[in-house]
Amino acid sequence: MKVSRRSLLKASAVTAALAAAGCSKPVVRETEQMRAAAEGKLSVEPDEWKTGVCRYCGTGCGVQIGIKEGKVISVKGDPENRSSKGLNCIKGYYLGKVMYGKDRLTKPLIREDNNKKGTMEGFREASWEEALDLIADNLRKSHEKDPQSIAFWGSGQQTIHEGYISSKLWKAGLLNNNIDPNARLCMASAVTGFMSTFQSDEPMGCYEDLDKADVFVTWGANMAEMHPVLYSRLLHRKQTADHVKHYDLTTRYSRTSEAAEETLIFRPQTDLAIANGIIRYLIEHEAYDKTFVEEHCQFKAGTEDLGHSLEDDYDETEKGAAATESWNVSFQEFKQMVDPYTLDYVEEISGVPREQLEALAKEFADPDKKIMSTWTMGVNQHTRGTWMNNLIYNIHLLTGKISKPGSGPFSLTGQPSACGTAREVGVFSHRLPADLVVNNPDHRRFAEMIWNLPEGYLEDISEPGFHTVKMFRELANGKVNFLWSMSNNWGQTMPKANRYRGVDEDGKGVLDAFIVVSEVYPTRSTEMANVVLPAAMWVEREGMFGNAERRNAIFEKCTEPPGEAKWDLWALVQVAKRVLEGKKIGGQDAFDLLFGKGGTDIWDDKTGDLKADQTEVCRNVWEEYRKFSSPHLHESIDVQELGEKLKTKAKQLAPYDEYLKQHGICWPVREVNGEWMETKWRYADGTQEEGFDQIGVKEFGEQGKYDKLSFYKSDDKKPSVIFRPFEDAPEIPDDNYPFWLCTGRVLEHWHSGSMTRRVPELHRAVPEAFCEIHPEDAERLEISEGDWVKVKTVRGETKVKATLNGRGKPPKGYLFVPFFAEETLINETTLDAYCPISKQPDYKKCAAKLEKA
Amino acid sequence: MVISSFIAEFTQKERERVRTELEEFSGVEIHKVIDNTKFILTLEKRTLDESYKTADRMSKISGLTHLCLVYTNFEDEVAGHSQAET
Repeated sequence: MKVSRRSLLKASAVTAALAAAGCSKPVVRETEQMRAAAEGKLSVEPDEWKTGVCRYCGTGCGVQIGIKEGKVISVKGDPENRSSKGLNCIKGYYLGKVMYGKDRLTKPLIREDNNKKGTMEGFREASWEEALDLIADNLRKSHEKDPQSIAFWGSGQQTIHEGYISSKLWKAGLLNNNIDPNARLCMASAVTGFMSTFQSDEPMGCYEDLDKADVFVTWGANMAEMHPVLYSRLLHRKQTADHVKHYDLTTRYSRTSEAAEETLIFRPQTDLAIANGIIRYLIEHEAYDKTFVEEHCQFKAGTEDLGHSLEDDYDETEKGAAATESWNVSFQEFKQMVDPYTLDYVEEISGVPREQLEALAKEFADPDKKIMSTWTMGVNQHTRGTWMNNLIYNIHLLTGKISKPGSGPFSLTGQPSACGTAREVGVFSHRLPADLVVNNPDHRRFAEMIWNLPEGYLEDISEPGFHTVKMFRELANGKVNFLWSMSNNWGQTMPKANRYRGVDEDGKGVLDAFIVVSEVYPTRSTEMANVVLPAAMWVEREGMFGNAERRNAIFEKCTEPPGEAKWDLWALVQVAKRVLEGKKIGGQDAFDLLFGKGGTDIWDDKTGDLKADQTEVCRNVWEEYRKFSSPHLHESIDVQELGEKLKTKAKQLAPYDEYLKQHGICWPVREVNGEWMETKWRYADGTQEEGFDQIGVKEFGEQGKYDKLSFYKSDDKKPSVIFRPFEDAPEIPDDNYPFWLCTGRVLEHWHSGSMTRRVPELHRAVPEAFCEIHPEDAERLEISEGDWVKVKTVRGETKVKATLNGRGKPPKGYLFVPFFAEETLINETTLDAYCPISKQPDYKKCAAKLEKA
Repeated sequence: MVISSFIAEFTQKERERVRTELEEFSGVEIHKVIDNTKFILTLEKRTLDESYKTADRMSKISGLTHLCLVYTNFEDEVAGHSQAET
């Protein structure tokens, strides 16, 4: 039998697919080919397979990366990664190719002509030394003049290590909380929802729930396009169990709606009323789980009539300042509060037929059904985003459908490490690592002890800094005059972009500020920069992402970055070295205490540089970070005792190398009989081997409670069912602006398209933005397919081509425009009003008009 | 030459039609059926772009509920890329 390279490659491909399908036995001809290959010593294998994680969405699919002669030649799904089990979506084709766009940034750039800010003109190439000195000099001067004038905008695409070092530099090094991630734009409402209901961030369940649920409810989540691998698991469950149903709650019929049994299309913002309608139905029909409620829940109400954060000073207003307040109420009081939300009333304001609402409510009312709710931006990018998160939890808590295999609310994430980096290591302006917050004295003291800082040193950061919208508003106002952004593209993705690009009169401060952008390609943000730093991307450096199911996973360095591009962590530490030069903390050299031998230990004094071994750097960063959630291992009794009190072990992590060995692990990770075991269902008692939270419940909770659950992080071990009313959107269509405008993503392009548009085939697949219009609206306005139209709001206008038959089907009076295209800045029209609690802006609804261009 | 493998999930009653339509694409070879719900298939194309394009078209076959990429080898394209650069 003749064995060709082609047949061998096919054999390898089939073997990988069989393994991913859970079938390890190769088909006969492949077995023969492989045997022949072994005898003939013919190999198509790369020199080395390295372990990695996809760098796109928050699913966190594991990949193995084949390297030959220093180049990436092959990618396959990693069957040992328990999040994706060997599967990738077809964007995986281009994981390698996104690194090789022709216009990769390979040298630092310094702006010489500030008049050309807003374009990629006016730069000159510079050495790293010059660029770093310039950055450090400006940072130091601004900080000395006014500590509140500096800011850092991080990302859910920074690695855990990069995020941790950014946060430590800003919070401990510069004593400044003006650091926030772009995750504020995508999932801050999920964070505040978790924190207000459970007092602990991130989901209690896991992706395995997709394999076990009887009913799926997607709330504002187009999983088919945004989380394709998870959606395939949902479909597989439906394929293999006839009784499984899917309800899709959405404002626009999407690809996800196509396979759903029921699609509930509601008027924007009325999801608040729909959730309350379900709650009322459950109570009215006594179809909630009374024992669960009695043992596990407390009831609350919070500040209402919050108004909207349209003005810069909203947070300081009476309403803004009181937004987070809540207080206990009785069940009877709660019942009265939801009483107005009859299904008839909800039908009237949402437009969803009562029959559909009742069918969904009955699913939750069925005690025998396992229900999984998933949601993303439709819920989070919402001026009442925190409330919507609370309401989904309310439904699952009232019915006891939570923390059980196949049953639970699951907040999906949009970025590869929004959980692992932005949320967990404390890149938010109000947070410290491991669920700790800056305005709690015990939390600050704990951070001081882990970071070897004198007692009281972090007193200066006891108030949260600027959240993202506030940060950019102050940049526009001229109060922030130093900004460093990393792994994001604010020049394209901030709402009300004209202000933050320095076009509007109230945005001129942006033009005067000193702006540093760390990037891999030229973007609408590098146009706004004074210094551009060329960054290493994906597997051009070692890193770690944390995905939506709490799984942290390492990606190994596979190839060198092009030209002079460098690891962002290297640039951060180089600037830290310069800025902290000569500064002391408690009589010790500040840099050494924070990043040298006295602290993280990632600096090599002999070479005067970051340690050369990236694995050693990552391991040292991780092991310091891990101290936050492993206080019992600390040599200090004080750390042990305070850590015990704060229950930081609820987020326990494993040693760094264990993550490579296991190809990712979900926290909390417990050491049982010498083995590190993950937790799939938090708060659920059962054996750790099976993925239950045995150690957590035993150490911090109560065993033997109803349903074997104990919500040990919640106040009094009882999550809060919080009444949240329907309050309308800040902008509602009227005679002048008669359309709802919604923005979002498409399958082919990831976020602002800065990577995926460099891949010719992805670019050709969706080469330009479009405006989805209902055919009847188009007919009325005499707009045909492909016509140029102008989408106008009170903030600006965007010219875009119309589509009447796109993959999404908007209802009448509704427009959808994706934001991936840098030449079609739809965010010039969007609104920067945000949820008063999470401070996350709403990209999903504002009032617009449409004209033929 | 770029060789990829996929798991293609289909609606059981549409199995034969999905198989026929998949095999109409040049470069597609179905190797195995698993649980009467999934095809294991390979795709051979000249370039990554052609592979993506074909996969994208395959994913739109009615009755094919999901197409998951598992493996792709693009060594020849990388080599070609390097030669072009030099």
